[in-house]
Amino acid sequence: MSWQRRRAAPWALAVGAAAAALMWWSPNHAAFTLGILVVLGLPLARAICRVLDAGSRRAIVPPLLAVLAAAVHGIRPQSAEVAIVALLVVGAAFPAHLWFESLRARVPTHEFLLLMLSQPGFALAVHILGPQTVTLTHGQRGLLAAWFAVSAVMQTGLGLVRHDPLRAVVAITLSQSTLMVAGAMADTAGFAAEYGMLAGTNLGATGLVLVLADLRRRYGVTRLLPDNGLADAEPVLSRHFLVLGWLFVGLPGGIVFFAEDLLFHALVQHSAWSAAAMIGASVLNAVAFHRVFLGVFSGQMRPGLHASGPVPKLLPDLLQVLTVVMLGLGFWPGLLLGDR
Amino acid sequence: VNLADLLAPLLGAVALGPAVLGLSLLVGFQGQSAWPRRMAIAHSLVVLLATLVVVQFWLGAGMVACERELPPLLELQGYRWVPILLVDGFSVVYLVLVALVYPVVVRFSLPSFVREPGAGRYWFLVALLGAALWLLSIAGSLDTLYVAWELVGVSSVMLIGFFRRQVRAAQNSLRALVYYRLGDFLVLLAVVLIHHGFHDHRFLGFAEQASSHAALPVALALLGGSLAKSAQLPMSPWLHRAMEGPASSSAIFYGALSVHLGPFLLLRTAPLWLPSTTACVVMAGIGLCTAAWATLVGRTRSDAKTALAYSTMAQIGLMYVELALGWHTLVAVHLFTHAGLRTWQFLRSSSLIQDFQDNPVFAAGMTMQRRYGFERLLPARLQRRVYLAALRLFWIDAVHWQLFVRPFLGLFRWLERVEERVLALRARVRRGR
Repeated sequence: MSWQRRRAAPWALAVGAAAAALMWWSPNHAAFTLGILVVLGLPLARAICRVLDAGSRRAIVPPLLAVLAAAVHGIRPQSAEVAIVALLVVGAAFPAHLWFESLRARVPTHEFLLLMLSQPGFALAVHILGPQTVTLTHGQRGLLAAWFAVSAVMQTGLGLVRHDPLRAVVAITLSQSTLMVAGAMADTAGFAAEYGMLAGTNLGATGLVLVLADLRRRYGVTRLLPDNGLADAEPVLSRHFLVLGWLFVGLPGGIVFFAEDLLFHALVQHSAWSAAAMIGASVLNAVAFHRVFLGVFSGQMRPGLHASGPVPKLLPDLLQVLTVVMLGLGFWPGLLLGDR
Repeated sequence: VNLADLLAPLLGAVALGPAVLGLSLLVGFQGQSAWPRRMAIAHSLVVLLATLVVVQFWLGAGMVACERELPPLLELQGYRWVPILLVDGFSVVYLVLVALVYPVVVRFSLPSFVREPGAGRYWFLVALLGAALWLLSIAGSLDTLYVAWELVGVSSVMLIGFFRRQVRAAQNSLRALVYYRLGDFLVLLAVVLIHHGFHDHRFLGFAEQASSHAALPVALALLGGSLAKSAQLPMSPWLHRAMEGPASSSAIFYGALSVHLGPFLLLRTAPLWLPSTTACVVMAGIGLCTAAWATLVGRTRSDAKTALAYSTMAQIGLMYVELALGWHTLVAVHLFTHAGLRTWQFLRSSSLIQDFQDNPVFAAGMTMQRRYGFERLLPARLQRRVYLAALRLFWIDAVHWQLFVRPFLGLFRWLERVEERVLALRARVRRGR
């Protein structure tokens, strides 16, 4: 059994979730630094302990650097260069996303999902670049926005060519996350869009990753193929995957649609090219998602493919809740999109 | 009661059908097998009734434009997302078209989607399309129009891939989505530029914005965005592949309603691009080229639906020329009559061949005769060359592949290989230890 298919440790999930909560709702800088250290460090430590290799040891360098940068930023708030480096690395901007990708291959899916949903890059952006603690110049913000916008396009492109469905969805999620960090560079209007984008990205990514992880576990689907054809065998998962995916990439009806619209509106005032790149990434994410959907669910199911067990009891209900929340937020966008 | 007050409740009634069908699909509601069908019939009647109400009130009010601004869905820091509805001559033309074609397509689909696997999905997608087209017809701003535009695109893509066991259906739905999203990119860019550069976002306010510095980029973005939906050059090659879907959905999408959205969008935003000679020349050029290209290619197709698809493209190309010349009333008439004719032809296409083969009475005294056209005027050698070129779509697929798709995907495949190599390097180190 591969490492990815092993079960996540409940204690690791609990500690990771607590650390994420501390990171997001930290009362002070020290608590934030502790939170982000655990969020990033725990999966790394787990990877190092379980798969003792040079790769996982090397993968610790970027996030550790970022945490150190965040700590330095707490001591010297005007150190813009440190903030930029930290944001690029923790936000998994291209090509610093490799540590993230390396980790994905080494930790159980649920633990990786928790790390992805914690959005440490965006948390760092909110913490050090929030409207109250602006330390970057207009030019530096523009540069970062452009870098993240280009990263979003790159991740989308990778999502378009990857053959492993889970890796393709991770690329789409990273693309959406980097869009989020790019939007955070667009001053207060950009920040106003962020929480809607964060909610939409996390809800969508949770649903998509859980479905793909389940199909990987039960059917061994690790490649996008024209004869996977799981739509008839798994109609419930197929339906939810489709709806969540479309809402996740910004179809009208979901919160991401409004959040992206606001984000583009905010960013175009800073840089028309960055806004165009972001729009490009956003529209191509839909193509990347549809490719994944077709590669997993469409076609005539090949004879050797069969489920090794039933769908986990809670999964359909969880997907239903995620979809309803996503749709609900889409009909009431003002709930999350607003001044913070 | 005036029309402005009625628009929101009518829109709510029209949106209710797909909402109920969609939610029931999502929660896996297992009612009577006929209920999605009945729901779709009821929805088509609601659409028809709502349109009759709108038209009657509009005529009663002296055919003046009626605008309704709904409460903003989002409002912060100078940014407002306000749904705006507008009823004027153009919206009434399209609205009537939707109200006439949609129930016909629903009626035509009834025998085909009784026990067909995925019938519920079909009815939901068709109802979603009907509602989206209704909203699109009465959209009063590009923001509102874009919502419906996207919903039309997604339902179209899902219907192309409706027969999901067929690999070709999946491939063609993905291809259609690529072209749609390229168009969406440009329309969304226009939306963002309008927010950034215009004081007034309403269609009715566009005339005053024509002198704005953003007017030309917006106009060109809208023109580019409209090309994909209407399958105009260079975004044409998806249309004949979209015929993988059910015949009735092809009729509604590629014969009648969806494919005419390009001219409709340009009619709506005419005050913006009409003063620009550049935009008009580009539009007319694209229209003419598409008309000539689609006519030639269409004559080499051997199946009815594909030949009809190319005829549709050619006619829409002519509409682009009419638009550029400023003959907008003619465009509205052309659009309406053409959509009606194509609906009938597409709906008839699937049974026509069967009639010829199986029904001796039908085919009695009829001969399939090849029609000769202007290509006969060409020298014989050139005729052959043009025929071969048309058979290969004038190499448009190869041009797209070589110039755009291959370099784009090639770059990312190369990046993926580099990424794999870096990650594999780590794995090798691990094995070494």
